[in-house]
Amino acid sequence: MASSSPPDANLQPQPPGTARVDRAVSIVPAPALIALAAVAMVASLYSALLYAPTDSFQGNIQRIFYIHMPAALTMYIAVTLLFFASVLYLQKRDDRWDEVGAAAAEVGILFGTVVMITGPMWARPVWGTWWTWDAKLTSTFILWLILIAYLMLRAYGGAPEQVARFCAVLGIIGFLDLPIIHFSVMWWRTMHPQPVVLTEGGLGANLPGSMLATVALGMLAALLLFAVLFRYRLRVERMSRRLMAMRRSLDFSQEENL
Amino acid sequence: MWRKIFVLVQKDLLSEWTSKEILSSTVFFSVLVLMVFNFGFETVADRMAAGPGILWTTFLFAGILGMNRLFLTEREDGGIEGLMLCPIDRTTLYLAKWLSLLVILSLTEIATLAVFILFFNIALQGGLVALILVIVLGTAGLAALGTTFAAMAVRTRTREMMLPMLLIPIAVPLLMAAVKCTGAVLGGATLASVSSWIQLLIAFDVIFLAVGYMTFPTILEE
Amino acid sequence: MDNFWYLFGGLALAWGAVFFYLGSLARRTRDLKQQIDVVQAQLERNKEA
Repeated sequence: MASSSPPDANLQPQPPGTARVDRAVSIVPAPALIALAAVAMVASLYSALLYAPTDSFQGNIQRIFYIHMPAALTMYIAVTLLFFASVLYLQKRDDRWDEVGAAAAEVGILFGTVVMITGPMWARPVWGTWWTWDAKLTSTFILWLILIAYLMLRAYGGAPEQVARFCAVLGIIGFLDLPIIHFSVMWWRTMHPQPVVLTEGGLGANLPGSMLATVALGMLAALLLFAVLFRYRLRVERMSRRLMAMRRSLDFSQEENL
Repeated sequence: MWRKIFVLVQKDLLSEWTSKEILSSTVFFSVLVLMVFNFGFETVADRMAAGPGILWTTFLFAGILGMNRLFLTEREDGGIEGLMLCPIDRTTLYLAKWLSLLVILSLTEIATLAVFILFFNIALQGGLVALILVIVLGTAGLAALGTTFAAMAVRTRTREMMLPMLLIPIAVPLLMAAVKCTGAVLGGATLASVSSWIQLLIAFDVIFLAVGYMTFPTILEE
Repeated sequence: MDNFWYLFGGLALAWGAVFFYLGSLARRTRDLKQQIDVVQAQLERNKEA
């Protein structure tokens, strides 16, 4: 994954406006982070499949929870990151926040996809149905749709500067909608297993220690994976913008030569 | 500020009243949609149960059409550029657009409601005022989001197709609340019985009106 | 083991999605790097011209 970026000195003088975009792709390769994430993922898989005890009611299918819940939480973390990046972009108009937003949304969708895959796989044997419009599932599904809408806006929104502004507005609206979505789907109907980790007795009061440890490990693995993918995606975004800036500079210099 | 808003809204509504371009299409579309839904539900019991959902789905789809038309023609005719040359705050412009949209949507919905009552044989057990209140609250929210998103959508490459993609996921809670409240009223219950849903509707309207108000200048930047 | 295929199918698909995304990032990085090199070369040629 390590690669050096082309030196800046070779670029022609920039027409005004592109100077802001032309920035060396400044993501330092972090092999330590990647190694840590890989170890955590393998450890969490082992823990989920072999270390954690079998659930007395649901049987072994319950083990999928150790991927499902961390993935869902990570998606919510991604959208929170997106919200702050959106607000900061609108305040400061610094492209770097727009880049963070783009990366956070896309990686968030990936984790959402994991939730949408593992959810029905769990639901079918346990509840007898692939899908149900219960509170948590519906909320998470709608968030997933909002992130996908964000990506559509990014793809088809028009000029980059306009896209950045529009996506920031959508990021803010989407995030503010989340608590409203939560309450509305909760009041509509509910069928999800009642909270097992966050209960009145405090964090994890009802879970045996080994299960709680497995959840924690799963969460750690999910966050590390998010960090790795996020940086990778951020690098792709910066390379893409650098390419656009270079192309503009090329056009400019070709006009000069005519 | 309110005088300017009044003038702008009057201009929009007058222009619409003379051409009836938007209203005729949205109302006709609503009738067609209601008819299609009617075929989708065989028994009377099914139709009764699905009634509020059908009504608001129809409002939503017709509303999207209306929003697209309102913002698309304005962009094509250069109306919005002309407006931006005037000494009007973009935020004031947002409120004016919101109000115009609210009126146009409401007019559509009144006509739709009449057809709905006809097709579905609804007996309004004296809950008309409550029903109107619910519809206005719900439409206010749709208009608030719609103004924001339609202004964005018509400036994108996919133009009017972008609007439903942005609007529908965000508006889901509004629709749920509206359907629940409408169901209660049509079933003869009081609004007090669905007070949490009413509060959710009001909160939704306030929040997204505020956000729309604050972000409109950003959206209209050149 | 009960519900074996649901569990392993779910895990395989979930991890598959992750690696598929990783692959797409790798492909995009490679393509961008290639295009950046091409434009870089053109810029240098222009500079010499």
